[in-house]
Amino acid sequence: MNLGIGMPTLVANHIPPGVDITLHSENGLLGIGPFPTRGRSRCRSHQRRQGDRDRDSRLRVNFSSADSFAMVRGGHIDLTVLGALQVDQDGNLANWMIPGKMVKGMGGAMDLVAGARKVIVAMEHTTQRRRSQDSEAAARCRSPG
Amino acid sequence: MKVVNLIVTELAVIEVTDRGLVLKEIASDTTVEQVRAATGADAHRRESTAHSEVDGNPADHTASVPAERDSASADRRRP
Repeated sequence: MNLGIGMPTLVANHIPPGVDITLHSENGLLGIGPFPTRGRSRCRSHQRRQGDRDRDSRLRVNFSSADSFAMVRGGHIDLTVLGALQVDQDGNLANWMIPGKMVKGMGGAMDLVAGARKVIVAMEHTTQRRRSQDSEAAARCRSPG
Repeated sequence: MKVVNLIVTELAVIEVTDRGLVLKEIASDTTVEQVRAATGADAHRRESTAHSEVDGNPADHTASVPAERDSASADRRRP
C-alpha cells in the first residue's frame, strides 16, 4: 500500500494492530510504520532493542526512486492513498498545479493512478475560503489533471 | 477515465461509482445537508439523474439518487 506525501502519511499512524500491511513510499521505502516519537523509532535496530517482536519481523528496506517506480509501474501496489486538489464526480483527479499559482508538481501520482489497483484520495473537503463553488469534490475538475 | 475510487475528507467518505458519487459516511459533527452544500458535484449529479428518471423506470427513482438514499441511513461511525 502506497502512501503519498502530506495528509496520506497520517494513515500510517492509524493502522490497527494485527493488520498485515506493507507500506510503500515512492521515494524508496517499504515497511514504514507510524510517525516516530521519542523512544519509538521506525528504525529496525531500535525496535529490536525495544523488544517489539511483532513489528521487528516485518520487512523494512530502502531503495532507489527508480526501483520504487518500477514497483508502481509494474503493478505491484494494491492500494494508494493520494492527496489531491480536486476530484470530480467521474473520479478524475487534479493534483499537480493551480493555474497562476506555484505547486510542486505531480510527483508520482500519474504512475500510481495507472499502476495501483485501487486509488483513495485524502484531502480537505473545501478550499480555505469554504465556498461551495470551490469544493474539492467538484462536478468537473477545473485545475489541470 | 475514472481513476479515483474513494474520497476521504474531514467531512465525509465518498465513493466514486459508475453512477456518480455515493456518500458512504459523514463526520459526527456535520450533517448531510452541510456535506451536500460543500460538495460541488452533488447538485450536478442530482440534475442529471433527475432527467434520467423522467423516462426511466419508476422503480429506479430512489436508486438513482444514491447520495440521498445512502446518507439518510448512513452510520455516523467516525468519531
